[in-house]
Amino acid sequence: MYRTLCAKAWLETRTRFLTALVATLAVCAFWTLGHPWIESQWQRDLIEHPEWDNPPWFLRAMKDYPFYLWHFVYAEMFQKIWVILAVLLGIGGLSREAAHGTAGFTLSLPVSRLTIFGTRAVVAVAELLALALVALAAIVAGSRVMALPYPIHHGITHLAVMFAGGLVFLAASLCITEFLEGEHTPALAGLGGVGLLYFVMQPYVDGAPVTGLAIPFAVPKLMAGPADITGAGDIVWSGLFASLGAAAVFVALAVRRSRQRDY
Amino acid sequence: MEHSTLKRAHAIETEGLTKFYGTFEAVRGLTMRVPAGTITGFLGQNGAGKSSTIRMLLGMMKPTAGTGRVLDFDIAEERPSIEMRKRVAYVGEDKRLYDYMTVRQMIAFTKSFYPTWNDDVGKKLLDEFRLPLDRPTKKLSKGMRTQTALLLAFSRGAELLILDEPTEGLDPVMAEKLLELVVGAAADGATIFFSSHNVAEVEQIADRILLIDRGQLVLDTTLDLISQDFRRLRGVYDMPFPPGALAVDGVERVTVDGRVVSVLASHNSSAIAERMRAHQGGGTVEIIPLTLKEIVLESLRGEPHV
Repeated sequence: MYRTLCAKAWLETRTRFLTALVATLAVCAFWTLGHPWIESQWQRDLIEHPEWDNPPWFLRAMKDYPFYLWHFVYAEMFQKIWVILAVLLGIGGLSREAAHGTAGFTLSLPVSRLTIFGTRAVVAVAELLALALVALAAIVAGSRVMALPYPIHHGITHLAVMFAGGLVFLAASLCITEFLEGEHTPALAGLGGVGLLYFVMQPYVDGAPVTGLAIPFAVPKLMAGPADITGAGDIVWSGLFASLGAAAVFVALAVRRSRQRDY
Repeated sequence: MEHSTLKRAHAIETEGLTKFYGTFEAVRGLTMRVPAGTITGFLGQNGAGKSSTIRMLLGMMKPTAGTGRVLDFDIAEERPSIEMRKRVAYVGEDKRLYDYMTVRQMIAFTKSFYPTWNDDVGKKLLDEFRLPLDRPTKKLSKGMRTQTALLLAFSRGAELLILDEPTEGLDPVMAEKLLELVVGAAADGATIFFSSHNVAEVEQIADRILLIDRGQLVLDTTLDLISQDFRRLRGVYDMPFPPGALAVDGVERVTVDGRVVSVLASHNSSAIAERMRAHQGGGTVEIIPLTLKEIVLESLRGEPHV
């Protein structure tokens, strides 16, 4: 029974997951395999346009490949795509089925709503983990192919932190799906929320110290982690645990709503 | 509660079952019994509360008030409701299936929940319906989708089949086939509870009728009683008919149209006719047998008794 429910959740999200897989591979391949080309473009820009006001990360990113990867993959572009993917993987469940007209069939099966929700959540977490592993493999393999030295523990640590941060967005998405009705409303609300969060938090990701009201919303900065990782002490563990706590709250709210709701 | 293996009297029982949507009362204190082993038609107009009642019975909705038991399991408690659903097959009004599964995957998925799944029935229906096993359900016609939904329901080996508007949107041939399946399942010992607003199909297969109007039960009888006992009595009067003159057992509804007084009687029609003649000075009272359709229309008319 659990296996078939997991299979159902997989079939339901398969297209989204495969799209996410392609996006992950494409982004990781672009920033690793494209490094020589990007670097040569930057060199040329420096010579041809010495008057340009370059951003603070620019010169270091030209010389330091792990920093370059950190900036473009973990702190910026891939992180944003990652969060969008986490939100999309969490969309679904009984509310969406109600919009599709299949909730009656699912709820007539001899299985609890908690089990239905739980198997869906487990499959979504597994898909997110698979994406993190694929990203790690793609970054390491891409770097090897281009003969660019990249310490694997950087990739493992950063993607572990991104996976943990991604769980918050996944849990929020699972929660939104239970509260909002309609086929596309939860996805639009989730993606809108992500857009707003990143718009507000971008200055902090760019380097501003996180203080006051910004602290509870600092997940993007936590997910980026420090540019230079020398050991476990570089990770903001309290922030990560707080994020996982927030994910647990989202899941608890979603479960409560799922059990109470009329279909 | 321990599930009783003894033969039960009722497959479904509700007591004062009520459902509010905000301030709108969709189901109003519904008390009904569905005897085990019968085919019971649950009739009512669109919006009468049929689907809400069925959803409460299956645990999809929580009743606002009242109680209900299906196969002796409490509908309001999660664990008993899950146990009950192992023994119940349900086909919903829209008969939608998972778009992302093929017919084969839908069958394998559903089968995994039911230890009583009957492969023989499944294969027989598969052959009969000629369903394309590897076609995604989103590419099935409405008729094929319905056939798949029926296959999934009838193969479960369920004690109780709950069908919500099963013939809705089906062509006459397919509707007839479905009714045959229902009769066959009942012959094999299953209880059938099906909602409909099509009187003819209810009359064709049901043993028993429950008629619901604006959330309330207005008729609970058997088809046999309808043909034996339900009558319309009609008399013509020169003088106004006195209010309350027909306070007789069996009178369900009295309507007065000018000089003509018409009475719907659920039983006791001879005594009622006597009373009508007495007020008429011994004149003629017509006693007319009624069809189910006429009874339903009378019951839904909502006019007060005279």
